[in-house]
Amino acid sequence: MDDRTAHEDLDAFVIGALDARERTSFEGHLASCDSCARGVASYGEVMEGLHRIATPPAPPVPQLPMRSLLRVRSRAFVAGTLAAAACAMIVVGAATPAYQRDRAQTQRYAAIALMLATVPREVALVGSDGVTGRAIVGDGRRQSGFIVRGLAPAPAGYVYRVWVRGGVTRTSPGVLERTGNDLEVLVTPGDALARATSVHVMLESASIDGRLPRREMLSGTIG
Amino acid sequence: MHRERAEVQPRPIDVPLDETLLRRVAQRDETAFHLIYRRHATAVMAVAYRILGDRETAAETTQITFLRLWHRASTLEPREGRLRPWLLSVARNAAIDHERHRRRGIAAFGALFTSLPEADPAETVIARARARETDDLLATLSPEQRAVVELAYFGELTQTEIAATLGVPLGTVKSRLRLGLGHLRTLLLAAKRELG
Repeated sequence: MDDRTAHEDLDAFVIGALDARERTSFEGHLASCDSCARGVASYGEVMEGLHRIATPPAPPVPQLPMRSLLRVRSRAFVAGTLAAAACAMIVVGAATPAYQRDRAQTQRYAAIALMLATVPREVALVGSDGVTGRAIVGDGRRQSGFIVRGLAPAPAGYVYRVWVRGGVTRTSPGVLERTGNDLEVLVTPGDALARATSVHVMLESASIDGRLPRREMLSGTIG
Repeated sequence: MHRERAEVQPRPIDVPLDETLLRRVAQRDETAFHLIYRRHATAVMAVAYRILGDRETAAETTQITFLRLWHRASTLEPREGRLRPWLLSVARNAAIDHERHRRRGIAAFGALFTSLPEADPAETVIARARARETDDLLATLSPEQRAVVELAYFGELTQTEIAATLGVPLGTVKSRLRLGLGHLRTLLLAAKRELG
């Protein structure tokens, strides 16, 4: 190694990016080069700073798929399984309880972000007093989401329930849940808007046999 | 001051090489897979975390990266020093893709709702606060310089491996390292002077 090449390796030496041969060679050069010795010493604070950056520990080893499946299925199947696993892991999560605070909320945001990122089908929901919302189906129609902004917290004994109408049928994919920033969110698997003609958000009794009065808060028509 | 690489330590003769383990993984040897995981998961996690800034998603990206290794082991060439760059390359691409999708999703979400919080509930630990100073400094690097610094430090790749991983000439890696580390040194010295 000539001096010029050695000087060029100073930064890689400092950060530990030389292989064994290069490192030995640079160390030989370093013993006789005051300039490089000063250069190495000048990086002390940078390296200390990098040491201080916390890196979380690696997660547990992932569970491997069953061997029999891998042996008989096609590559397309494997790729599909991987993609589905990736989506499931992103949405459902596979982490340890140590960092699960607000996890459900984070999952809902992640799921909605994923849906919005994959060219979703959307329906605008409109209510009174500036209440707005959106029903979305995304992630290859694998998930549906309902997000509403501007609703006051549901009174005791009440929930905001989503209803989807299609022809003469009416089904409910679930109840909106309040998030940390005053949004009401529901994420549900599958295409909740399939064959639907309208979406409604109702303030109604939390119990199935409740006798409390119902009130429509938002609605949207599917064209 | 410089960083010692793990490989400085002599490798016990009964510890199999990556190439050997990779061949075994291609034959569906789960023990070999676990050994590879133990050897490289920390670096993969670190690199993914540096890109994503979110512990949970980085953990998922790490697991997805190794699942991909499990599925593709038979198509990989078992040559010395190739495995970790391959793993980090897969992790980087997966993390960058995820981050791109997340940003697009949140941007679209934000068009309707402006107050979507950054979901970072578990990261308010003291260690992170202590790291903040340098963490922020890393953010001042150009994306190219930052990638090289992070692959070297957190991914523990050599400059040659970084060049192969990023698909750039070795001279470019050296140059980015020099500029990146030099930039950090200048900022840290300035901060130190400011603090008196």
